[in-house]
Formats: sequence, structure tokens, C-alpha cells
Amino acid sequence: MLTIADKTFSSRLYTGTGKYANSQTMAESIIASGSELVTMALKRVDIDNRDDDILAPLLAAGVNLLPNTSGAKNAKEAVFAAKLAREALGTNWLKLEIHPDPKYLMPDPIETLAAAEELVREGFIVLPYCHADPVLCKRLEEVGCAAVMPLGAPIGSNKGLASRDFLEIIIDQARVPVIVDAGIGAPSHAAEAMEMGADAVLVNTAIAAAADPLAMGKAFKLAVESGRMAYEAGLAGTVNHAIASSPLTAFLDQTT
Amino acid sequence: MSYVDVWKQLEWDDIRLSIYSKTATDVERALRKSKRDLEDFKALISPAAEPYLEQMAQQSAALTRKRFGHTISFYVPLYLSNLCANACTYCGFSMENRIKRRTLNTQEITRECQAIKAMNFDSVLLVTGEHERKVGMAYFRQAVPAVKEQFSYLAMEVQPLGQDEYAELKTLGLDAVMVYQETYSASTYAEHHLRGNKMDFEYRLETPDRLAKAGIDKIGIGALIGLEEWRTDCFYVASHLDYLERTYWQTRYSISFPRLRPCEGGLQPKSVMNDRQLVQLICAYRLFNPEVELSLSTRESPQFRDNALPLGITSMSAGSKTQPGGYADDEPELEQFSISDERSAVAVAEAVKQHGFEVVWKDWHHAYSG
Amino acid sequence: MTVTTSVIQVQVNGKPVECPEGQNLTALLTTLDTPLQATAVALNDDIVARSDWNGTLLNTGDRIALFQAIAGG
Repeated sequence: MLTIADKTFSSRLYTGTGKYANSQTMAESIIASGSELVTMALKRVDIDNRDDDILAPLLAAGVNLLPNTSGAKNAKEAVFAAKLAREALGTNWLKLEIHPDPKYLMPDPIETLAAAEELVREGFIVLPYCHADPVLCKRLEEVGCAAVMPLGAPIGSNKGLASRDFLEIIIDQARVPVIVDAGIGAPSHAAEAMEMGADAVLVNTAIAAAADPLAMGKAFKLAVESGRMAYEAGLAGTVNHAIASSPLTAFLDQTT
Repeated sequence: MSYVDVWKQLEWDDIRLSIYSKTATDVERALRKSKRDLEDFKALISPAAEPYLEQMAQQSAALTRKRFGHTISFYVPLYLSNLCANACTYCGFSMENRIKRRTLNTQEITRECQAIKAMNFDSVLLVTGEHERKVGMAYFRQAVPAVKEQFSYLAMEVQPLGQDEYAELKTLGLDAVMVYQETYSASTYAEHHLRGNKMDFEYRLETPDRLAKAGIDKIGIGALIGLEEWRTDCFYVASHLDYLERTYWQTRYSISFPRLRPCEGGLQPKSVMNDRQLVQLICAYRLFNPEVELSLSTRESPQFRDNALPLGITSMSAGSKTQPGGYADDEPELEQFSISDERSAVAVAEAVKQHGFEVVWKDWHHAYSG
Repeated sequence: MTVTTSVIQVQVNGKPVECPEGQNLTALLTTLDTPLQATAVALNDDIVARSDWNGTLLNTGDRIALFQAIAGG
């Protein structure tokens, strides 16, 4: 069971809603994945051209909503987006994401930290998406974020845990839950993150863009469960250091 | 929120049992891992780890080289006063002991500093007993800047102070504070601290939190090995370090492992730690935490110090005098405890060099913060 | 005698829309067939809380921005 702020989850797999063929497939894949927290974006309504209603199927599935501020290019826009999201969806939970770079969608650390501080003050439960920068994660924690969401690799790249060395540090130092978000491309990546000690993972593209999203959702469910189980069971570890050279403790035999 | 809240959740006897039930498998697993947790630490300090000592030493040495290179920092204690209002059973300065009390005045401090400078030291640890009225903030306000003028790095080991007081001393030049809990067992603590402010276990336990909040650069913690069952006490030290690092992530930390030495008063240790076990402890700390400073004082013999130094130690004192005025003059009857390595700083530096290490006299960490 | 209400021009997400003068936000959203449930509204750059929709009357030239939740990661 994972507790973040005022909610407790039995699933450590969080999912996104983007890139699905239609909202029915989206809902079915999310249900197959067992995910209890789902993120979605906000955008201006085109009154002449309505988007698929994604909310009804999600609410029917009983998942928790995590609106995100994707589209915001700076702290001011993110704060505005957050307030809109709170109004629209009736939740103060928020995935804070600010990527002014439209090509690689890298999160802006400075705007994110500024926005996080303000949003926490305004009563939001802030889950910030950020680079796997250990110091940034501690700063986000200090301003009151309920968790940190460092990336594994660029959004949509499916490259896995390119940032694994830094994720290890973040996991070691964190006093709030660590959710690896972005870049997870295969169930094995998700399992690796869980084995490392991450508290949860957020997966979108890998499931939505799979040939069979429902089956992939289920595969991720199993991977996250298995990775967490392995972590809790105590992994055996590998031999890291060569045992070498002259004995260092022989001097103790000479005493006594 | 402070470490006191964490400490209250820990059960001494459960921990002791847990340590003693660790098996060879637990030890082997701990040795294979690259990131070790507190359960691994228990395995490494347990009796089950004793046959693995050489392996532990090899890994510990490698980890220390990786992080610290072939360097050892030297520091020296400067005893300013042996006046004390506490009665601690294990200490030569206990108010119950009939010894000559002395507190250095400004002139005398200057003389001590000159003598120390002549020994080449640049990092000093100011030590006093605990006497709030006569050796309190008013005294420290004079002493700290006076000594800091002469040396780059200044640490203190005195009575626990308030957060604001530490913050003030920081502006006067204070870099580090050592505050040893002596024992993390409250009942045993009460048996050894019979009078004075030091009786307040929780205030002392909370001191590192106040230090970190005051922005002090480095905090030293440790237990006085021998007051209680040493494995359990040392586990608490590891748990304390773990909490502090996670909570105050911008602070540096240091661990010492003083073994009870004979002193005026003659207390017998409840638990005896032999040399093998001290090596085991040093390696266990290093394997648990590759970054923490591990400091070995002159309580230990020359032979032990020279051989233990490559295994995980990063900081040593040398040529120490544990009585006020001991550098400029020399009056043995005032010692806090008798030291074991009486070699001069020059001799120790030479020995360190022979073992393939370089002595670092000046801590460059402070380059920009002045 | 029939009472005629005058018609005003407002902007909804940049598109011109006509509505009766003095209409409130809730009525406008209903006219536009917007699901009230998952929508957020900003009027002239200020967010209007859901509880205030009934009491917010529109004037000519008002810029209304409507936001809804959509699919995204």
C-alpha cells in the first residue's frame, strides 16, 4: 500500500491518458493495468469540435484523477492551469509539469520549483515532474511537494531508466514517495525502477502506443507488482568488488 | 520533529536480538550489495560477520580510497577548561573528582594557539567541560573568534547549546560541533549521568537537529563504547546518521568511536570491545555510508592507529593533550582521559606518510564560505 | 406586448458568440452544450469558481475561456 498525502493506493502503477486510439480503449487499458491514479491534461474547449469525453469512462472506472499542467511554459501559466484544473475536476491533486522546450519536453527546474512553492501554499497536493536531479528533488520536497516525479528518460522516448544512477540517489535521499515518470518503455523498465526502490511509476506511451494496449496494461501491472515484491523480499545483490592484494587485518592476529 | 521521535520508536532489546540473529547469509548479502541499509549494518556489526573481517576491510578500504583518495585530515583538540557542573561516572572532569580546575583566559588561549600552530595544525577542536555560568556563551563569544583568527577550521565539543546560540557562533567562525550521546539507552544513560544538565537525555539527543537547523557545516556523533552493549549502541549511531542525512541533507557528518579509557575515577566498561571488533565497526560504518567522515583519536595505540588508518579512517588527531594549557605547559594530573598514542604530530604524520597517505592539514571545503 | 432582450457579443475561446444580455455563465455553457461537470471557466483572464457561475452575468465584449480535461500523459 502506498500513501501519498490523503490517499492510499494498492497499485503502484499510475497511468496517463494520452495517445490512445479512442477513450474506450483508454479506459479498458487503464482498468486492465489496475491503475488507481490517472493523469490528464486540460485544454481550451473547441466549441465547434468537441474532444472525446475522457472523464465519464474514468469516473466509471473509479480511478483517482491527477490533472496535469502540460502546456504551461512557466510558473505563472502552471499556477493558472492548476486552478483551472481544480475547478474543472474538483480535486486539489496536481501533476505539475512545465516544459517550455517543445522538442524534447524537458521539464524546467526553475519554473517548476517556483510554481510548486506557490501551489503548495494555495493548498494543492503537488506531484512535480522534474529531471532526475537529486538536489532539485530535495528542494521540491522542502517546499512541500507530496512526492517527486523524476524522469527515467525523455517523455515518449521509451528508453527506460537512462537516469538510473541519479534515481538511485534520489530514492536514497528522499523523505517523500518517489514516482518514476517518463521514459518507461517496457514492463522490464518498470520492474527495474521498483526493484531499485521507487515507490511507484507512471506509464503512458508504452501502454497507449502498444499494438495491444489492454494486454500491455496488464503486463505493466504484473511487472510493477513483481518489481515491488522483489524489492521487499531483499534482493541478493551482485559481487561488485574484486577481492585483491595483501591482507589488511593480519595485524590483529599479532595482538591479543 | 527531531531524532528523538525516531529514537522513541526504536526498541533497544528488539534491536539487540535482531543484531544477534543475523546469519552468515545476511552478512554475505550485505557484502554483495552496493547500497546498504540499516539491516545490512546490523549484519555487518553482528558476531556472524566476524569471519568476514578481511573481506569487509578490503571493501571498506576500496570505498574510502574511491571517495577520499589517499588522504587523512589532521586535527588537534584544544582544551579550554575542565570546569564542570556534571557528574559523569566515566570522565576525569566529573565535578565529583578532586582535580585542579582551570579555565584558560585570552592570553593563555593565545599561547596555546601559538604552540599548536608550531605543530602545523590548521584544524582545531575546542573542548570544555560543562559549566554554563563560567564557561558559557559569554566565554565562547570571546574564545571562538580568537581561535578562528589563527586557524582555518574550528570545531567545538562543549555542552549542548540552543539553536540560536549555534547560529550566533557560526557567524563568529564555528564550523563543526561534536556531540556524543555517550549511550542511546536512556536507562543506562541515567546511571552514568548523576548530576547537572547533562542528565537531560532528550535535550542532548536533539542537539544534532538544532545544529543542522542552525546551519553548522559538520556534525559529529557517536557513542562512548563500553557504557552499554556496543553493537546495539553503534546501531543507534548508524540510525542517527541515517536520519540526519535524510533530513538535513546539506550538512556533513562525522562519526567517532571512542572506547572507554581509564581515567581518574576508574569505571569498568559494561561491554568490552576488542581490537578486531573495532576494526569490524569501522568497516561496517564505511560499508554502510561511503561518505561519512570517520575519525580516530589518540585514545587508541600507535600500532592500532597505523594499521587501521587505511581501512576507512579519514580524520585523526595527533600529539593531543587532554588538559587545559597542555600545549604551552604540561601538567599531567589535569587530563580528561589518558591517551594511548603519545607520539608527536610530526611522528604521526611521518607514520601516515609511510603507509602511503598524505596528511591534509587544511580543509579546503570552505573555499567560498570564508 | 412582447419584451425583446437585446443580444450581446462575447468571445468564447476566441470565437464570437451571441447571447442575450444579462445571461449568466451557466446558461451560456448550457447553450453551448458544454458538459458542466468537467469544465473550468475563466472570464477576462480570471477564473470563475463553479459556485459563482449562476451569479456571473455577461457583458458585451467579455472574453470567456472554457477548459476541459482531455487525454494527455
